[in-house]
Amino acid sequence: MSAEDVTLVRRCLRGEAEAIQTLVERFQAEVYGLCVRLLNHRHDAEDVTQEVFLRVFRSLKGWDSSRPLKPWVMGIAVNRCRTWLTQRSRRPELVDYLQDTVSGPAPDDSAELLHEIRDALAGLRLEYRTVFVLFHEQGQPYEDIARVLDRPVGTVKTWLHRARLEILDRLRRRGMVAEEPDPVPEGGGGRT
Amino acid sequence: MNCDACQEQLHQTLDGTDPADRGALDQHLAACADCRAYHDAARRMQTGLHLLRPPAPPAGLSARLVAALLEDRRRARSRARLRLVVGLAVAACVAVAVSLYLWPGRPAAPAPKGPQMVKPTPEPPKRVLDSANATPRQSMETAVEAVASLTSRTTTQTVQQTKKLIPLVEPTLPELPWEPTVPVPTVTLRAAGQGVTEGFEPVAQHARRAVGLIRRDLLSDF
Repeated sequence: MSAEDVTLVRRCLRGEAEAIQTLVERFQAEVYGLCVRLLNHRHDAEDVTQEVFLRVFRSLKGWDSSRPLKPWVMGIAVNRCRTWLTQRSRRPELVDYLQDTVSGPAPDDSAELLHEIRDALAGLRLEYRTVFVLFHEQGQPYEDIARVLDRPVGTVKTWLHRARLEILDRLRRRGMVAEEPDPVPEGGGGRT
Repeated sequence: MNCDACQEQLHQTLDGTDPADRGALDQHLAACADCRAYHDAARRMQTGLHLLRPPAPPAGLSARLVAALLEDRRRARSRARLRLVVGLAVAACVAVAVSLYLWPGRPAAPAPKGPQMVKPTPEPPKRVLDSANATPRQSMETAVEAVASLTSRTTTQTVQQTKKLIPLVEPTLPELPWEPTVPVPTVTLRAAGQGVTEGFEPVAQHARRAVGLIRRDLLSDF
């Protein structure tokens, strides 16, 4: 719990526009980023981000001030994305080519590597994708991710390990890793 | 070190923790092509994740979100205010109806010689509301007037009917030279009470209709 969060929430509940703006600016990048990764569609992500903040402010009275604010907000974001995906699955598929670009000097195959990682992420099931993005892209600790998803830390770790292995398998299959034979032939290269 | 322990070390590395036994890990990786490929893929993944820029919110998103939140808050307050006004209006109507019925200072009507129906009082001209151009305040005033009119008229009729019926059902006891030992039957009072209950039924019906009018006319404006 943060005293700063409690004060901010109280001011938001009083309807102070400045406090509302502060709260939005504090979380919008992470909420929007998570929505983009989970929905793979920027316009949908923008709509869902707005829904998330509306939900957050309508439920702000019910926030348990003994718990941190950020996992609570991100939990609402995950739930809204899940609902949106359920509704979208009943509609025609939307296609959005995310404009991820390399953010600095990079080796030659960096664009291809980005493309593969992005596709591998999109292919993960929602729970795996969520923990992967929260951990690797947003740098949230296991405990916070467990609060976001309302799951035990052990479950979060298991999901993250599976997500990593799926992505690593894809990178190997797609030739993004130079496969070398065993230097010791008698080892057989099998798992021990 | 076996492959499972090697894979555990891989996850620890990706978690940001240094391997507990670096020497044993390197030894296993040198001997196992499969685990080596996983570790190489993990390094490539980390490189890719560093290159992957988090999606930046579009310009002006924050301003749009704040505007939407303030608008939502304003609507919520309007809805709460409307609920309060409707609640107060209904409570006031009920209070008026009850006070009209219980008002002791009303002039008593002359006792009728027989059953006599009360003539309905002529209705005042109704104010016609142009629903297309009416403001919420005008709609509210019209609805409140409608509630007050319906409730007041029906209550007055019911009270007058009931007061005229009560004397008809009063028992006419004969003059007795001795004090009666048997209590006077209360059947007639029950009948009177039943009459009052039935008389109030139209009041309840009109009140329900009035509340329905308020909800239909006013909520459609919001």
